Amino acid sequence: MPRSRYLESRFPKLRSTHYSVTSNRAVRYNCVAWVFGDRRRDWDLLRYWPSKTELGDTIASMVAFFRSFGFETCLLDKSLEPGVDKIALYRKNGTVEFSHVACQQPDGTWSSKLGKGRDISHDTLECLEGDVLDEYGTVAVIMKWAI
Amino acid sequence: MECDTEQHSADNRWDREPVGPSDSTQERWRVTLARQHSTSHLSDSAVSEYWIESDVIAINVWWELRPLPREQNIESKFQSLAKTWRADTEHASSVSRMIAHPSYLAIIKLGSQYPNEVVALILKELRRRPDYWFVALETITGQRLSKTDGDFDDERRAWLKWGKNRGYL
Repeated sequence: MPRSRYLESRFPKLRSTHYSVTSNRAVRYNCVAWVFGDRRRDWDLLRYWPSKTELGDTIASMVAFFRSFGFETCLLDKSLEPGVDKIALYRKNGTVEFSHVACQQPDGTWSSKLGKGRDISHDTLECLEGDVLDEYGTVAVIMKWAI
Repeated sequence: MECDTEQHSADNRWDREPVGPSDSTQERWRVTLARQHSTSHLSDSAVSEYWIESDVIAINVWWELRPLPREQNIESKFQSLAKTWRADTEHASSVSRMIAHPSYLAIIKLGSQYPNEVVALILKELRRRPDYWFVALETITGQRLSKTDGDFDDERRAWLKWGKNRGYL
């Protein structure tokens, strides 16, 4: 799919990054569901929460959530490792709020479901930082899961 | 009296100046169109008189500022709030953040004042443009149709069916 002017207006760093839109807009699932390949519902405190971890949308509670599925923190090591799935958790600037999660693809690029919008494939994690609503913030934690 | 001038194009220009006092129900303006002999942008009822002086048409007009009917007011307010909410939460990752948006909360408040009108508007919006309206519907109607597995399409279908059965759609 082509690039999206609308997305570039919301995420200005996309303009200077290689990315591609990989799906149509879909309200029904969010970025957390996307990590687990679920396209029919939001994985969210108010919708569906298949974990016994503490409810909350802070970075700490989301790290605990992903840990309950076998992910481990690996600081900010975003390198591609064969046989290892990695996810990047974003934190809203100046807060402890979790804002987004992107997952690494086998070729080293990243895949994101942008809220209620589209899925995109993007070369860098930084291209989603600095959005105009200051919503996504910056990457705070990388986690990995050995296959 | 200060004249308010707008340049529409190189050849068409109109000046307007307030005539007499304005209040919350009526404004009076004298509008002068230069090099333009068309009044097509004014409704007939708005034109009280006009005359031609050489190449200029001068028109006395007034607008009556009527309050919108209640239904139109509510719909207009709802659409404005919904538009802001959609734009601001398009990329939000969590429903809890979406529903904490001030415009969403304002819609719920509007729904507490005018439940029938707002529920009908939300259901029409949900039918036309699927989105997370469930919490607003639950709050306003007191009904809970969601299932524990969080399937979006199932819940949307359930609300549309509920709305149809009660005559909202």
